[in-house]
Amino acid sequence: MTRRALVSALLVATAAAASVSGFVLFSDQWPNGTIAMNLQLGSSPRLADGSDSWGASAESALAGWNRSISRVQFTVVRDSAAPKGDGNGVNNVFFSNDIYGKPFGQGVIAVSTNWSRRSVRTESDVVFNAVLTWDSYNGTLRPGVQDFHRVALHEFGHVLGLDHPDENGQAVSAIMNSHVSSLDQLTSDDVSGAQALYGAVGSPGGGTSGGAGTVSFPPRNESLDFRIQLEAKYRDGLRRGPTSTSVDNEGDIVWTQEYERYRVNQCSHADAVSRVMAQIDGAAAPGVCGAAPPGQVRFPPRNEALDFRTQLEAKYRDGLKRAPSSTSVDAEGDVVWTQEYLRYRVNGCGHALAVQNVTVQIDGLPAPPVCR
Amino acid sequence: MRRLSVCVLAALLGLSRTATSTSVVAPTFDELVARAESVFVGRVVAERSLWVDSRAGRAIVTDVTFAIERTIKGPLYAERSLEFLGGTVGDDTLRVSGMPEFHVGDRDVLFVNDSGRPVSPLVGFMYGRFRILRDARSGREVVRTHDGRPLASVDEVGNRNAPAASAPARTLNLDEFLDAVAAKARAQERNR
Repeated sequence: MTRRALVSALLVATAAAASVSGFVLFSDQWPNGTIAMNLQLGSSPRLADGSDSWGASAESALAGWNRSISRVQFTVVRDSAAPKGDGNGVNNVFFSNDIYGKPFGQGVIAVSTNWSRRSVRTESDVVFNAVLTWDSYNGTLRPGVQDFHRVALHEFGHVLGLDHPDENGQAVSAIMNSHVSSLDQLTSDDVSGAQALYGAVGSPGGGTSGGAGTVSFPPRNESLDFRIQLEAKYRDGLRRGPTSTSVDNEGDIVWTQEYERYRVNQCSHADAVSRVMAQIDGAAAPGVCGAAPPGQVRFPPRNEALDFRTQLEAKYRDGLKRAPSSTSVDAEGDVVWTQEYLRYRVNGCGHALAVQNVTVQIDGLPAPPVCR
Repeated sequence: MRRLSVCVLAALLGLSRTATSTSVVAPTFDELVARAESVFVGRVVAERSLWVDSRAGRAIVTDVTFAIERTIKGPLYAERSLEFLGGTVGDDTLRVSGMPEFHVGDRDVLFVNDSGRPVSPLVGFMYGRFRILRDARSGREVVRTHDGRPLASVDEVGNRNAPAASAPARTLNLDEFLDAVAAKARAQERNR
């Protein structure tokens, strides 16, 4: 890769995976409109952050999400008398010693149960563990005292349809990470995730065309690690002999991932190839072509990905005049398995599981399902 | 188990951990072993989601059946089924954020305590699951955390501060991990 092109690609890969779109989405979302949350949290003394009640703190958390999204909005029913039940179509928010009769289990402070039918969300309940000591406060966590507000922010993010980025190979600052921390408010990544689902305020159509895209790709070091493991698998496991290529492993994985990123973010094959080639020539990374539809991320036909790989080979050989090197992975295996690895990654699988899922297929076993 | 997700935040119960860490959710290695009534290496041989009735209405649960290859702590069984809240039946899905998902063929080390039939029968909800993978480079079986993080030692269990992408120079292999669990269980039993 040329230095400038590599830097450009790295910036894109880093931005797409680590800071701009680390968020991870469930496969379902609410229909446009309002989401009525029945607050049934009971009374409390005045809380440390000045909230009058648990309900007021919950309303503040819901309002935090409302400020960033347009196509849905939370509404609240204060001190609701609605029946508490799972699968009844009512969104309950309450304290309890158990989750509809089942113990929380040691160390669990809150759980959200999210119901959907054919990928359309129909109900979400949030249950806070009443056995624990709670307050509503800002800043550093207090020993033995749970902060209701930040936990509510997190749980309501699940209600919207956001998953844990840190459990899906992303390293971002986010209230949606799986662990409680000193972070007590939404971050840009949390907001970007919500807006990917429901659009930003002021742009009711939603979506983020022109940016890094709505589909989050893995960090480059993990993709490169996969490519290195693929090389070892072909060389040592399948005993494949060396073949010649002008594309080094790093350029191979960076540009193939970049092609796939354009494809899943609504670029045609020709547009995606053109955008990648422009970057190899040193141009700034062009924007993507649109927002990927919600649900499982679809990848292009393998023949098109292979065509890209063939053009990449020609670009390196004839355009960049790169000398040939050897690889045990033929072009078809390279692009097919790389695409398969990325398919698992963008559909909720972590790095290790994605590598494993590809490896078992190389060994001749059926393709494991994606992770969401 | 399909389409399960779980949204769970584990409690910050320990004073020292809260005071010294930015975030500590997962149980430590000592806590994992101590809280588990059973620790075993299991391979998923079946999983089935079904509707169940409860006092609060209907819910979907997923029964996952494991063939037990090796028991490190607790009673010996050839096979064991565990029930997790959530799953998909027909067009309907109940997703519990953070709930582990299992597929037939998965091999894991599981720390189990299903006393009282909690929403997750694993110690620490999802943290009681360790994935068994074969390292493509070394050919060894290694263990990873439930979300795929490599471990250099059992001291890292419960440490949520390590970046997801970091890979230790040396990864704990399966036998080393199981030996550490067995030694810890014996030590805890002696001190009881």
